[in-house]
Amino acid sequence: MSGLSEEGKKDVKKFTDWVNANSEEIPPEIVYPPKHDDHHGHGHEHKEIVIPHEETLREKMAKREHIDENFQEEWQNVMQKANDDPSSPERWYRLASSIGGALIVLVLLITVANLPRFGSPDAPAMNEVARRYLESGLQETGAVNSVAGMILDYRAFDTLGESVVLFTATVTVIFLLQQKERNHNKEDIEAVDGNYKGIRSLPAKVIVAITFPFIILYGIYIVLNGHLSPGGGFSGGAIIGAGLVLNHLVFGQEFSEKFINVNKCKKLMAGGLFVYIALKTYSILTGANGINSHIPLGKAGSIFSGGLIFPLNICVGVVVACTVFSLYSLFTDWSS
Amino acid sequence: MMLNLFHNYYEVAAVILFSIGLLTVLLQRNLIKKIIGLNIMDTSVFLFLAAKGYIAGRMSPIIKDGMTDASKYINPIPSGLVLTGIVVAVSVTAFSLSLTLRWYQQYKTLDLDGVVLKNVWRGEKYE
Repeated sequence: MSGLSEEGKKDVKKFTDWVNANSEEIPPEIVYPPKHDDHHGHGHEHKEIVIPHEETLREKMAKREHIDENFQEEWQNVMQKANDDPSSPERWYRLASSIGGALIVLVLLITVANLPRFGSPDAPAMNEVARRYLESGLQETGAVNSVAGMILDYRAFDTLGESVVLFTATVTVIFLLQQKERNHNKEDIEAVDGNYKGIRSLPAKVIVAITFPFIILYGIYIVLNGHLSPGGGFSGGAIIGAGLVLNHLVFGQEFSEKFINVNKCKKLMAGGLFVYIALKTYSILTGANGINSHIPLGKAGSIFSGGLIFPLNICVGVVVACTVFSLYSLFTDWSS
Repeated sequence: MMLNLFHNYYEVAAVILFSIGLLTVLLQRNLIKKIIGLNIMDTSVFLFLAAKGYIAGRMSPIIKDGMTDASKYINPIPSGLVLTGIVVAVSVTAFSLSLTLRWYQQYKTLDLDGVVLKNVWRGEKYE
Protein backbone atom coordinates (compact mmCIF):
# COMPACT_ATOMS: atom_id res chain seq x y z
CA MET A 1 0.00 0.00 0.00
CA SER A 2 3.01 2.22 -0.03
CA GLY A 3 2.16 3.36 -3.53
CA LEU A 4 -1.13 4.93 -2.43
CA SER A 5 -1.82 8.51 -1.62
CA GLU A 6 -3.16 9.53 1.80
CA GLU A 7 -6.65 9.70 0.36
CA GLY A 8 -6.35 6.24 -1.11
CA LYS A 9 -5.20 4.83 2.21
CA LYS A 10 -8.25 6.33 3.91
CA ASP A 11 -10.52 4.74 1.32
CA VAL A 12 -8.92 1.34 1.81
CA LYS A 13 -9.34 1.74 5.57
CA LYS A 14 -13.01 2.57 5.07
CA PHE A 15 -13.49 -0.47 2.89
CA THR A 16 -11.74 -2.89 5.25
CA ASP A 17 -13.81 -1.48 8.11
CA TRP A 18 -16.93 -2.16 6.10
CA VAL A 19 -15.83 -5.70 5.37
CA ASN A 20 -14.98 -6.32 9.02
CA ALA A 21 -18.23 -4.86 10.30
CA ASN A 22 -20.09 -7.11 7.85
CA SER A 23 -22.88 -4.56 7.63
CA GLU A 24 -25.79 -4.48 5.26
CA GLU A 25 -25.00 -0.97 4.05
CA ILE A 26 -23.61 -0.27 0.65
CA PRO A 27 -19.83 0.06 0.79
CA PRO A 28 -18.13 3.43 0.34
CA GLU A 29 -17.37 4.29 -3.20
CA ILE A 30 -13.77 3.74 -4.08
CA VAL A 31 -11.90 4.42 -7.27
CA TYR A 32 -8.59 2.71 -7.85
CA PRO A 33 -6.04 3.67 -8.83
CA PRO A 34 -6.76 7.17 -7.52
CA LYS A 35 -6.93 9.81 -10.19
CA HIS A 36 -3.89 12.04 -10.28
CA ASP A 37 -4.27 14.74 -12.87
CA ASP A 38 -0.87 16.33 -12.62
CA HIS A 39 1.22 13.24 -11.88
CA HIS A 40 0.78 11.74 -15.33
CA GLY A 41 3.94 11.08 -17.20
CA HIS A 42 6.24 11.31 -14.17
CA GLY A 43 7.03 7.60 -14.22
CA HIS A 44 4.92 7.19 -11.09
CA GLU A 45 3.03 3.89 -11.60
CA HIS A 46 0.50 2.67 -9.06
CA LYS A 47 -0.24 -1.00 -8.82
CA GLU A 48 -3.86 -1.62 -9.53
CA ILE A 49 -5.65 -3.05 -6.52
CA VAL A 50 -8.67 -5.17 -7.33
CA ILE A 51 -11.32 -4.90 -4.68
CA PRO A 52 -14.40 -7.02 -5.34
CA HIS A 53 -17.50 -5.03 -5.92
CA GLU A 54 -20.39 -5.39 -3.53
CA GLU A 55 -22.39 -7.60 -5.84
CA THR A 56 -19.55 -10.00 -6.51
CA LEU A 57 -18.93 -10.22 -2.76
CA ARG A 58 -22.57 -11.00 -2.12
CA GLU A 59 -22.50 -13.51 -4.96
CA LYS A 60 -19.52 -15.19 -3.40
CA MET A 61 -21.17 -15.36 0.02
CA ALA A 62 -24.36 -16.72 -1.50
CA LYS A 63 -22.40 -19.31 -3.43
CA ARG A 64 -20.64 -20.33 -0.24
CA GLU A 65 -23.90 -20.69 1.66
CA HIS A 66 -25.38 -22.62 -1.23
CA ILE A 67 -22.42 -25.01 -1.20
CA ASP A 68 -22.66 -25.48 2.57
CA GLU A 69 -26.37 -26.21 2.34
CA ASN A 70 -26.43 -28.45 -0.70
CA PHE A 71 -23.09 -30.12 -0.16
CA GLN A 72 -24.45 -33.59 0.55
CA GLU A 73 -26.51 -33.75 -2.67
CA GLU A 74 -23.73 -32.39 -4.86
CA TRP A 75 -21.26 -34.75 -3.27
CA GLN A 76 -23.57 -37.69 -3.91
CA ASN A 77 -23.75 -36.67 -7.58
CA VAL A 78 -19.98 -36.46 -7.84
CA MET A 79 -19.54 -39.85 -6.21
CA GLN A 80 -22.21 -41.36 -8.46
CA LYS A 81 -20.35 -40.07 -11.52
CA ALA A 82 -17.06 -41.40 -10.17
CA ASN A 83 -18.60 -44.82 -9.57
CA ASP A 84 -20.15 -44.95 -13.05
CA ASP A 85 -16.95 -43.94 -14.79
CA PRO A 86 -14.88 -47.11 -15.35
CA SER A 87 -11.58 -45.24 -15.54
CA SER A 88 -11.98 -43.15 -12.39
CA PRO A 89 -9.28 -43.50 -9.69
CA GLU A 90 -12.03 -44.09 -7.16
CA ARG A 91 -12.93 -47.43 -8.76
CA TRP A 92 -9.30 -48.46 -8.95
CA TYR A 93 -8.82 -47.60 -5.28
CA ARG A 94 -11.80 -49.71 -4.24
CA LEU A 95 -10.67 -52.61 -6.40
CA ALA A 96 -7.08 -52.43 -5.13
CA SER A 97 -8.09 -52.24 -1.47
CA SER A 98 -10.49 -55.18 -1.86
CA ILE A 99 -7.75 -57.27 -3.44
CA GLY A 100 -5.28 -56.17 -0.76
CA GLY A 101 -7.75 -57.06 2.01
CA ALA A 102 -8.36 -60.49 0.44
CA LEU A 103 -4.60 -61.11 0.23
CA ILE A 104 -4.11 -60.19 3.90
CA VAL A 105 -6.95 -62.55 4.91
CA LEU A 106 -5.37 -65.31 2.83
CA VAL A 107 -1.96 -64.87 4.48
CA LEU A 108 -3.53 -64.76 7.95
CA LEU A 109 -5.63 -67.87 7.26
CA ILE A 110 -2.54 -69.79 6.14
CA THR A 111 -0.87 -68.70 9.38
CA VAL A 112 -3.86 -69.82 11.45
CA ALA A 113 -3.86 -73.20 9.69
CA ASN A 114 -0.25 -73.70 10.81
CA LEU A 115 -0.81 -72.66 14.43
CA PRO A 116 -1.06 -75.29 17.17
CA ARG A 117 -4.60 -76.50 17.81
CA PHE A 118 -6.96 -74.42 19.91
CA GLY A 119 -6.67 -75.41 23.58
CA SER A 120 -3.69 -77.73 23.14
CA PRO A 121 -1.58 -78.01 26.33
CA ASP A 122 1.80 -78.09 24.55
CA ALA A 123 1.32 -74.79 22.71
CA PRO A 124 4.57 -72.78 22.64
CA ALA A 125 2.79 -69.81 24.24
CA MET A 126 2.74 -71.76 27.55
CA ASN A 127 6.50 -71.40 28.02
CA GLU A 128 8.75 -71.07 31.06
CA VAL A 129 7.64 -67.45 31.71
CA ALA A 130 4.00 -68.41 32.20
CA ARG A 131 5.03 -71.46 34.23
CA ARG A 132 7.20 -69.29 36.48
CA TYR A 133 4.33 -66.83 37.08
CA LEU A 134 2.02 -69.68 38.08
CA GLU A 135 4.46 -71.72 40.15
CA SER A 136 6.23 -69.03 42.20
CA GLY A 137 3.79 -66.12 41.81
CA LEU A 138 1.93 -66.89 45.03
CA GLN A 139 5.12 -67.07 47.06
CA GLU A 140 6.80 -64.03 45.47
CA THR A 141 3.90 -61.59 45.11
CA GLY A 142 1.40 -62.91 47.65
CA ALA A 143 -1.46 -62.56 45.16
CA VAL A 144 -3.86 -65.45 44.66
CA ASN A 145 -4.92 -64.02 41.28
CA SER A 146 -1.95 -64.76 39.01
CA VAL A 147 -2.94 -62.11 36.46
CA ALA A 148 -3.02 -59.40 39.15
CA GLY A 149 0.33 -60.63 40.47
CA MET A 150 1.72 -60.47 36.96
CA ILE A 151 0.49 -57.03 35.88
CA LEU A 152 0.99 -55.27 39.24
CA ASP A 153 4.21 -56.88 40.44
CA TYR A 154 6.32 -58.50 37.73
CA ARG A 155 5.11 -56.08 35.04
CA ALA A 156 4.07 -53.10 37.15
CA PHE A 157 6.10 -50.70 35.03
CA ASP A 158 3.99 -51.69 32.01
CA THR A 159 0.80 -51.02 33.98
CA LEU A 160 2.15 -47.60 34.96
CA GLY A 161 2.55 -46.93 31.22
CA GLU A 162 -1.07 -47.96 30.63
CA SER A 163 -2.32 -45.59 33.34
CA VAL A 164 -0.23 -42.79 31.83
CA VAL A 165 -1.76 -43.55 28.39
CA LEU A 166 -5.25 -43.16 29.89
CA PHE A 167 -4.24 -39.95 31.64
CA THR A 168 -2.68 -38.53 28.47
CA ALA A 169 -5.78 -39.39 26.42
CA THR A 170 -8.00 -37.58 28.93
CA VAL A 171 -5.72 -34.54 28.99
CA THR A 172 -5.70 -34.41 25.18
CA VAL A 173 -9.48 -34.65 24.99
CA ILE A 174 -9.77 -31.87 27.58
CA PHE A 175 -7.36 -29.79 25.50
CA LEU A 176 -9.30 -30.39 22.29
CA LEU A 177 -12.86 -30.08 23.58
CA GLN A 178 -12.74 -27.51 26.38
CA GLN A 179 -11.64 -24.67 24.07
CA LYS A 180 -15.26 -23.70 23.56
CA GLU A 181 -15.66 -22.76 27.20
CA ARG A 182 -12.31 -21.05 27.43
CA ASN A 183 -13.31 -18.50 24.78
CA HIS A 184 -16.47 -17.46 26.63
CA ASN A 185 -16.84 -15.43 29.77
CA LYS A 186 -18.32 -17.03 32.83
CA GLU A 187 -21.50 -15.00 32.49
CA ASP A 188 -21.98 -16.25 28.95
CA ILE A 189 -21.97 -19.86 30.11
CA GLU A 190 -24.57 -19.13 32.79
CA ALA A 191 -26.66 -17.17 30.32
CA VAL A 192 -26.60 -19.98 27.78
CA ASP A 193 -27.38 -22.53 30.52
CA GLY A 194 -26.45 -25.58 28.49
CA ASN A 195 -26.55 -27.77 31.58
CA TYR A 196 -27.83 -31.23 30.91
CA LYS A 197 -30.99 -31.65 32.98
CA GLY A 198 -31.36 -35.44 32.90
CA ILE A 199 -34.20 -37.55 31.56
CA ARG A 200 -37.83 -37.16 32.63
CA SER A 201 -38.82 -40.81 32.89
CA LEU A 202 -39.85 -41.59 36.49
CA PRO A 203 -39.27 -45.40 36.35
CA ALA A 204 -35.70 -44.85 35.12
CA LYS A 205 -35.03 -42.40 37.96
CA VAL A 206 -36.42 -44.78 40.60
CA ILE A 207 -34.47 -47.76 39.27
CA VAL A 208 -31.21 -45.82 39.03
CA ALA A 209 -31.73 -44.31 42.50
CA ILE A 210 -32.03 -47.84 43.90
CA THR A 211 -29.23 -49.48 41.90
CA PHE A 212 -26.66 -46.66 41.79
CA PRO A 213 -25.18 -47.30 45.30
CA PHE A 214 -24.95 -51.01 44.60
CA ILE A 215 -23.18 -50.45 41.26
CA ILE A 216 -20.57 -48.28 43.00
CA LEU A 217 -20.28 -50.80 45.85
CA TYR A 218 -19.79 -53.67 43.40
CA GLY A 219 -17.09 -51.70 41.57
CA ILE A 220 -15.30 -51.00 44.86
CA TYR A 221 -15.56 -54.69 45.78
CA ILE A 222 -13.97 -55.70 42.47
CA VAL A 223 -11.14 -53.16 42.92
CA LEU A 224 -10.40 -54.23 46.50
CA ASN A 225 -10.56 -57.97 45.68
CA GLY A 226 -8.35 -57.62 42.62
CA HIS A 227 -5.62 -59.82 44.08
CA LEU A 228 -8.05 -62.50 45.27
CA SER A 229 -10.61 -62.96 42.51
CA PRO A 230 -11.13 -62.10 38.84
CA GLY A 231 -11.09 -58.36 38.29
CA GLY A 232 -8.86 -55.62 39.59
CA GLY A 233 -8.30 -51.93 39.10
CA PHE A 234 -9.17 -51.81 35.41
CA SER A 235 -12.46 -53.71 35.46
CA GLY A 236 -13.59 -52.33 38.82
CA GLY A 237 -12.72 -48.80 37.75
CA ALA A 238 -14.70 -49.27 34.56
CA ILE A 239 -17.74 -50.38 36.62
CA ILE A 240 -17.49 -47.36 38.94
CA GLY A 241 -17.08 -45.07 35.92
CA ALA A 242 -20.13 -46.62 34.24
CA GLY A 243 -22.14 -46.08 37.43
CA LEU A 244 -21.15 -42.41 37.51
CA VAL A 245 -22.06 -42.08 33.81
CA LEU A 246 -25.48 -43.64 34.52
CA ASN A 247 -26.02 -41.17 37.36
CA HIS A 248 -25.10 -38.24 35.11
CA LEU A 249 -27.31 -39.56 32.32
CA VAL A 250 -30.44 -39.92 34.46
CA PHE A 251 -30.18 -37.16 37.08
CA GLY A 252 -28.43 -34.50 35.02
CA GLN A 253 -25.30 -32.46 35.38
CA GLU A 254 -26.22 -30.43 38.46
CA PHE A 255 -26.87 -33.44 40.68
CA SER A 256 -23.94 -35.39 39.27
CA GLU A 257 -21.48 -32.59 39.96
CA LYS A 258 -22.19 -32.89 43.68
CA PHE A 259 -20.19 -36.13 43.50
CA ILE A 260 -17.62 -35.48 40.82
CA ASN A 261 -16.77 -33.25 37.89
CA VAL A 262 -14.00 -33.02 35.32
CA ASN A 263 -11.78 -30.83 37.48
CA LYS A 264 -11.98 -33.22 40.41
CA CYS A 265 -11.30 -36.08 37.97
CA LYS A 266 -8.13 -34.38 36.77
CA LYS A 267 -6.85 -33.98 40.34
CA LEU A 268 -7.81 -37.53 41.33
CA MET A 269 -6.08 -38.99 38.28
CA ALA A 270 -2.90 -37.03 38.87
CA GLY A 271 -3.00 -38.05 42.56
CA GLY A 272 -3.54 -41.72 41.69
CA LEU A 273 -0.63 -41.70 39.27
CA PHE A 274 1.58 -39.93 41.81
CA VAL A 275 0.84 -42.50 44.52
CA TYR A 276 1.45 -45.31 42.02
CA ILE A 277 4.83 -43.85 41.03
CA ALA A 278 5.81 -43.27 44.70
CA LEU A 279 4.95 -46.84 45.74
CA LYS A 280 6.68 -48.37 42.75
CA THR A 281 9.76 -46.19 43.27
CA TYR A 282 10.01 -47.58 46.80
CA SER A 283 9.70 -51.10 45.45
CA ILE A 284 12.40 -50.52 42.81
CA LEU A 285 14.76 -48.80 45.28
CA THR A 286 14.54 -51.80 47.61
CA GLY A 287 15.64 -54.13 44.82
CA ALA A 288 12.35 -54.77 42.95
CA ASN A 289 12.25 -58.33 44.29
CA GLY A 290 10.48 -57.88 47.63
CA ILE A 291 13.38 -59.25 49.69
CA ASN A 292 14.43 -55.97 51.31
CA SER A 293 10.96 -54.47 51.21
CA HIS A 294 9.36 -53.63 54.57
CA ILE A 295 5.85 -54.22 53.30
CA PRO A 296 4.60 -57.63 54.49
CA LEU A 297 3.09 -59.94 51.90
CA GLY A 298 0.50 -61.11 54.39
CA LYS A 299 -1.36 -64.39 54.51
CA ALA A 300 -2.35 -65.54 51.03
CA GLY A 301 -6.09 -65.27 50.50
CA SER A 302 -6.81 -62.57 53.10
CA ILE A 303 -7.83 -59.08 52.03
CA PHE A 304 -4.63 -57.38 53.30
CA SER A 305 -2.23 -59.52 51.36
CA GLY A 306 -0.15 -59.18 48.25
CA GLY A 307 2.02 -56.32 49.51
CA LEU A 308 1.87 -53.40 47.10
CA ILE A 309 -0.74 -54.98 44.81
CA PHE A 310 -3.62 -53.85 47.03
CA PRO A 311 -2.81 -50.08 46.99
CA LEU A 312 -1.69 -50.20 43.35
CA ASN A 313 -5.06 -51.70 42.37
CA ILE A 314 -6.81 -48.83 44.14
CA CYS A 315 -4.67 -46.25 42.25
CA VAL A 316 -5.42 -47.91 38.90
CA GLY A 317 -9.13 -48.10 39.80
CA VAL A 318 -9.25 -44.37 40.58
CA VAL A 319 -7.49 -43.50 37.32
CA VAL A 320 -9.78 -45.70 35.18
CA ALA A 321 -13.02 -44.55 36.86
CA CYS A 322 -12.05 -40.90 36.44
CA THR A 323 -11.09 -41.49 32.79
CA VAL A 324 -14.40 -43.14 31.94
CA PHE A 325 -16.43 -40.43 33.64
CA SER A 326 -14.47 -37.45 32.37
CA LEU A 327 -14.45 -38.68 28.76
CA TYR A 328 -18.23 -39.08 28.89
CA SER A 329 -18.68 -35.72 30.56
CA LEU A 330 -16.43 -33.90 28.05
CA PHE A 331 -18.19 -35.36 25.01
CA THR A 332 -21.69 -34.57 26.34
CA ASP A 333 -20.65 -31.02 27.29
CA TRP A 334 -19.44 -30.50 23.75
CA SER A 335 -22.65 -31.71 22.13
CA SER A 336 -25.04 -29.79 24.39
CA MET B 1 -3.25 -78.72 7.38
CA MET B 2 -6.56 -77.21 6.28
CA LEU B 3 -8.31 -79.36 8.89
CA ASN B 4 -6.64 -77.13 11.45
CA LEU B 5 -8.86 -74.26 10.31
CA PHE B 6 -11.89 -76.09 11.72
CA HIS B 7 -10.18 -76.70 15.06
CA ASN B 8 -8.87 -73.12 15.29
CA TYR B 9 -12.28 -71.57 14.72
CA TYR B 10 -11.67 -68.82 17.29
CA GLU B 11 -8.59 -67.66 15.38
CA VAL B 12 -10.45 -67.88 12.05
CA ALA B 13 -13.22 -65.69 13.48
CA ALA B 14 -10.55 -63.23 14.64
CA VAL B 15 -9.05 -63.12 11.12
CA ILE B 16 -12.47 -62.50 9.55
CA LEU B 17 -13.22 -59.73 12.07
CA PHE B 18 -9.82 -58.20 11.34
CA SER B 19 -10.51 -58.12 7.61
CA ILE B 20 -13.95 -56.57 8.18
CA GLY B 21 -12.33 -53.83 10.25
CA LEU B 22 -9.52 -53.28 7.76
CA LEU B 23 -11.89 -52.95 4.79
CA THR B 24 -14.10 -50.59 6.82
CA VAL B 25 -11.08 -48.36 7.42
CA LEU B 26 -10.04 -48.49 3.77
CA LEU B 27 -13.40 -48.20 1.99
CA GLN B 28 -15.58 -46.00 4.19
CA ARG B 29 -15.21 -42.25 3.74
CA ASN B 30 -17.02 -41.29 6.92
CA LEU B 31 -14.53 -40.63 9.71
CA ILE B 32 -16.79 -42.08 12.45
CA LYS B 33 -17.13 -45.31 10.44
CA LYS B 34 -13.35 -45.45 10.05
CA ILE B 35 -13.02 -45.26 13.86
CA ILE B 36 -15.60 -48.04 14.21
CA GLY B 37 -13.48 -50.11 11.80
CA LEU B 38 -10.40 -49.52 13.94
CA ASN B 39 -12.34 -50.73 16.99
CA ILE B 40 -13.42 -53.90 15.17
CA MET B 41 -9.76 -54.59 14.35
CA ASP B 42 -8.86 -54.08 18.04
CA THR B 43 -11.56 -56.54 19.08
CA SER B 44 -10.30 -59.17 16.66
CA VAL B 45 -6.80 -58.92 18.18
CA PHE B 46 -8.24 -59.35 21.70
CA LEU B 47 -10.18 -62.41 20.56
CA PHE B 48 -7.04 -63.87 19.01
CA LEU B 49 -4.93 -63.30 22.14
CA ALA B 50 -7.60 -64.70 24.48
CA ALA B 51 -7.92 -67.76 22.25
CA LYS B 52 -4.15 -68.35 22.31
CA GLY B 53 -4.11 -68.33 26.13
CA TYR B 54 -6.78 -70.99 26.54
CA ILE B 55 -5.84 -74.58 27.33
CA ALA B 56 -8.62 -77.17 27.27
CA GLY B 57 -9.75 -78.56 30.62
CA ARG B 58 -7.75 -76.25 32.85
CA MET B 59 -8.78 -73.64 35.43
CA SER B 60 -8.50 -69.87 35.24
CA PRO B 61 -5.17 -68.63 36.65
CA ILE B 62 -6.39 -68.01 40.20
CA ILE B 63 -4.48 -70.21 42.60
CA LYS B 64 -6.87 -72.58 44.37
CA ASP B 65 -6.00 -74.07 47.78
CA GLY B 66 -2.33 -73.14 47.42
CA MET B 67 -1.94 -75.54 44.49
CA THR B 68 0.93 -74.00 42.52
CA ASP B 69 1.11 -76.56 39.75
CA ALA B 70 1.45 -74.92 36.32
CA SER B 71 -0.24 -77.86 34.59
CA LYS B 72 -3.55 -77.07 36.35
CA TYR B 73 -4.04 -73.51 35.04
CA ILE B 74 -4.32 -71.74 31.71
CA ASN B 75 -1.74 -69.22 30.46
CA PRO B 76 -2.05 -65.91 32.40
CA ILE B 77 0.09 -63.80 30.04
CA PRO B 78 -2.44 -63.22 27.18
CA SER B 79 -4.95 -61.90 29.75
CA GLY B 80 -2.49 -59.21 30.77
CA LEU B 81 -1.77 -58.36 27.13
CA VAL B 82 -5.50 -58.04 26.35
CA LEU B 83 -5.81 -55.65 29.32
CA THR B 84 -3.08 -53.44 27.85
CA GLY B 85 -4.73 -53.59 24.43
CA ILE B 86 -8.15 -52.56 25.75
CA VAL B 87 -6.68 -49.56 27.55
CA VAL B 88 -4.82 -48.37 24.46
CA ALA B 89 -7.90 -48.95 22.26
CA VAL B 90 -10.08 -46.83 24.57
CA SER B 91 -7.51 -44.03 24.64
CA VAL B 92 -7.01 -43.98 20.86
CA THR B 93 -10.78 -44.04 20.26
CA ALA B 94 -11.38 -41.12 22.61
CA PHE B 95 -8.55 -39.12 21.05
CA SER B 96 -9.64 -39.72 17.46
CA LEU B 97 -13.31 -38.99 18.27
CA SER B 98 -12.38 -35.64 19.79
CA LEU B 99 -10.24 -34.82 16.75
CA THR B 100 -13.21 -35.75 14.56
CA LEU B 101 -15.44 -33.35 16.48
CA ARG B 102 -13.01 -30.49 15.88
CA TRP B 103 -12.78 -31.50 12.22
CA TYR B 104 -16.56 -31.37 11.89
CA GLN B 105 -16.64 -27.99 13.57
CA GLN B 106 -14.19 -26.66 10.99
CA TYR B 107 -15.47 -28.25 7.76
CA LYS B 108 -19.12 -29.16 8.53
CA THR B 109 -18.65 -32.55 6.93
CA LEU B 110 -17.32 -35.90 8.11
CA ASP B 111 -16.41 -36.96 4.57
CA LEU B 112 -12.65 -37.22 4.17
CA ASP B 113 -12.52 -36.68 0.37
CA GLY B 114 -15.46 -34.28 0.40
CA VAL B 115 -13.52 -31.72 2.40
CA VAL B 116 -11.06 -31.14 -0.44
CA LEU B 117 -13.82 -30.79 -3.01
CA LYS B 118 -15.87 -28.51 -0.80
CA ASN B 119 -12.98 -26.12 -0.45
CA VAL B 120 -12.39 -26.16 -4.21
CA TRP B 121 -16.05 -25.29 -4.79
CA ARG B 122 -15.93 -22.56 -2.21
CA GLY B 123 -12.93 -21.15 -4.06
CA GLU B 124 -10.73 -21.42 -1.01
CA LYS B 125 -7.27 -22.77 -0.65
CA TYR B 126 -7.10 -26.30 0.70
CA GLU B 127 -5.30 -26.12 3.99
